[in-house]
Amino acid sequence: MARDERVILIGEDVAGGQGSTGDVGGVGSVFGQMQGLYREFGPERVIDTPISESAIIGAASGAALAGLRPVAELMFVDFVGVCFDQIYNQIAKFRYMSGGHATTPLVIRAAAGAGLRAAAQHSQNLHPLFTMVPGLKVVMPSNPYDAKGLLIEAIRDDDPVIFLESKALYGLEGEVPEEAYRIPFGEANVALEGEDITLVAFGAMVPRALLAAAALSKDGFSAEVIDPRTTSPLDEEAILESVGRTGRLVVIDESPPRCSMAADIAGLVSEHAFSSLRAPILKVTCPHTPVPFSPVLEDAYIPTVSRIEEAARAALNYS
Amino acid sequence: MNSIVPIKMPKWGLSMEEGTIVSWLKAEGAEVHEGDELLEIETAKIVNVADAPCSGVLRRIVAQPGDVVPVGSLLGIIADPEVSESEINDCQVAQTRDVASGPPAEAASTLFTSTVDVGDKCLRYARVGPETGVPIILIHGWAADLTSWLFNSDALAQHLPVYAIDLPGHGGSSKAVGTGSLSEFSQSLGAAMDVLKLDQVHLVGHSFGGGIAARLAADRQELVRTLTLIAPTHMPGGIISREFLDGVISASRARAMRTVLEMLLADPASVTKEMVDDLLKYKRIDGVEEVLRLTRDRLLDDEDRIQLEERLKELGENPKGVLIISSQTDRVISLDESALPDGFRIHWIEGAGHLPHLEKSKEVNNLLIERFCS
Repeated sequence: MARDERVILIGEDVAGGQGSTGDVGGVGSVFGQMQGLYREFGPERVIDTPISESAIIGAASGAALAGLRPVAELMFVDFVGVCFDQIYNQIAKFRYMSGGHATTPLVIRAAAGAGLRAAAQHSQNLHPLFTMVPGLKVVMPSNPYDAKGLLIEAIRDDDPVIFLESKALYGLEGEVPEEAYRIPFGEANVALEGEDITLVAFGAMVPRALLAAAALSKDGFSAEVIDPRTTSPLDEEAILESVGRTGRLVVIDESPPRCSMAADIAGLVSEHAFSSLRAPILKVTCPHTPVPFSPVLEDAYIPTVSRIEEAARAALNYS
Repeated sequence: MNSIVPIKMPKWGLSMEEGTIVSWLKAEGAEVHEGDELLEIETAKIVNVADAPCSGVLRRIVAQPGDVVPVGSLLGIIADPEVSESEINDCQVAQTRDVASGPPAEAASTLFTSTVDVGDKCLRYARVGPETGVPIILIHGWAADLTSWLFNSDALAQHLPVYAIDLPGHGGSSKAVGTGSLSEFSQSLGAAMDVLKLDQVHLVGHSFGGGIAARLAADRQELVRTLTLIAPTHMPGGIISREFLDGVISASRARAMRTVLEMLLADPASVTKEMVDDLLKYKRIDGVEEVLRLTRDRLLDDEDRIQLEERLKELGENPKGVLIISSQTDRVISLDESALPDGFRIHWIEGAGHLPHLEKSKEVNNLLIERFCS
């Protein structure tokens, strides 16, 4: 925002909520993600809206078309339903349908995922919904370093970017450089190098995959953990290269199983790396149900470290 | 002599906080002599060997291979054979309790990191060592930063104050490098030393830092007491690997970058994931790509080298001469000893690549200490 005055923020409570004078900096979004920005950049650039996602995204898309670079917020990604037309039918298609004359340099940030006992309507991930739409880029950072680099890249990208922030990871701490830096989209991070099996995971599932890999290493298995960082564009090359070496793949996806990234990647790999496979591709996903409110059921709903480990062992022991 | 000596995790370098035990080179119960290689420890950058600080018997191994141990924590115990097992036990318990109650005194050394403003640039530096003495200034190489000196700074700081400075465009310094010429780099460095009130220093430069150090010594003779160059650029007859420079610039994925970094070391297998990741992270920072391209172009162009060549003869006339430390198996820079002016001599290190100060740190540290302290 300091570097480019065209960058504005718009959403519910991104400043401090209705009636806030901003003197004390406001709330800065429901999880504090935007804290301090209202005080620094003022009401012209940090805009609180009524509770109307169609207004937020509609206004942001118009502003983007007119030359601003808005960062719009959906307080919970679950609310995308009421503005989904703006996103998939308008924003995603403006460049294409205008023959390249219109660009929509817009970032839509949203808190996503389960684990906070927020129940079915506030705990979904919904990344498959965006990933399947041509014209949208979809980002799922798994750690603080990636989050900063990917968000800077998203703001500087001239196309619409859906930036999904896993609420279970908001508290995760990590080393982050003071200076600005960009992480390109479509470039996976190999979080852990290994030889025996490939684990592909996104967002909040990456730390769990790493814990599973640590458990496997105690028994002498070395797992390679790949964090694609973005579901669209997807770093297919990194995944195929890894499975080409290990021959075994488990995809961990915090999503119901149908039409998930797990299903997508399993299809991709079985088509392009069939001869390298030494075991069936296994998917560790949520069940095909809404997210439960009961803490015990919610914890069982999200892929656990032991379920990931179990799937990995099944692939490793397959013959 | 009835002594018990606890062996603790050493602090190598300015940012080391912990190390991973790779393997013990002596078994429990073995006799050790002061200076014997005792165990291999992996840090963020590379594996190094810790030596026995005294003679005796390695009575207890506490940290096992694979353990990640904080700096200052107990690794093992050396003592005389007469010392009883229960005294060894007491020592082990006491060491653990000391660590639990707070950081050990050795870890809280006189190290600090800060920045200095020179014109439109801001340079980061780190300082460690005694309050007085002729300062040693360490200048890192291309695409690196002051943490390159992690195996050298503490050993040198036992004798003299040590400053390690991040070049413009690198590490924690601001990323503008102007024209990227050798003299612009050396001017920034000289200006930083002026602000820090450093002069008559022992100037040590590695690779590109060596070329810059030579330029600075030529332009500001009063600042430099001795000049030591490790695998330097810009020497007459020297050849730098275009493949390496281009490789670092073009590699954006870990596997490709690892292949490039293997050129740096005599043992390619010792490239760590952290070395690769650190370089990739550095490259992503705003402005760095331009810095690397600009300096790469100038490194391959002869202009800076030719300008420097005229002044090198004067540097050779220094009573202590110019010491170059290099290796015949360096795949990034090859030097031609016969092309160097009088007063320049090369000390060849066996079994190292382009980073002898990391790969053979003990040998390099001893060379430097002898040069600066005799």
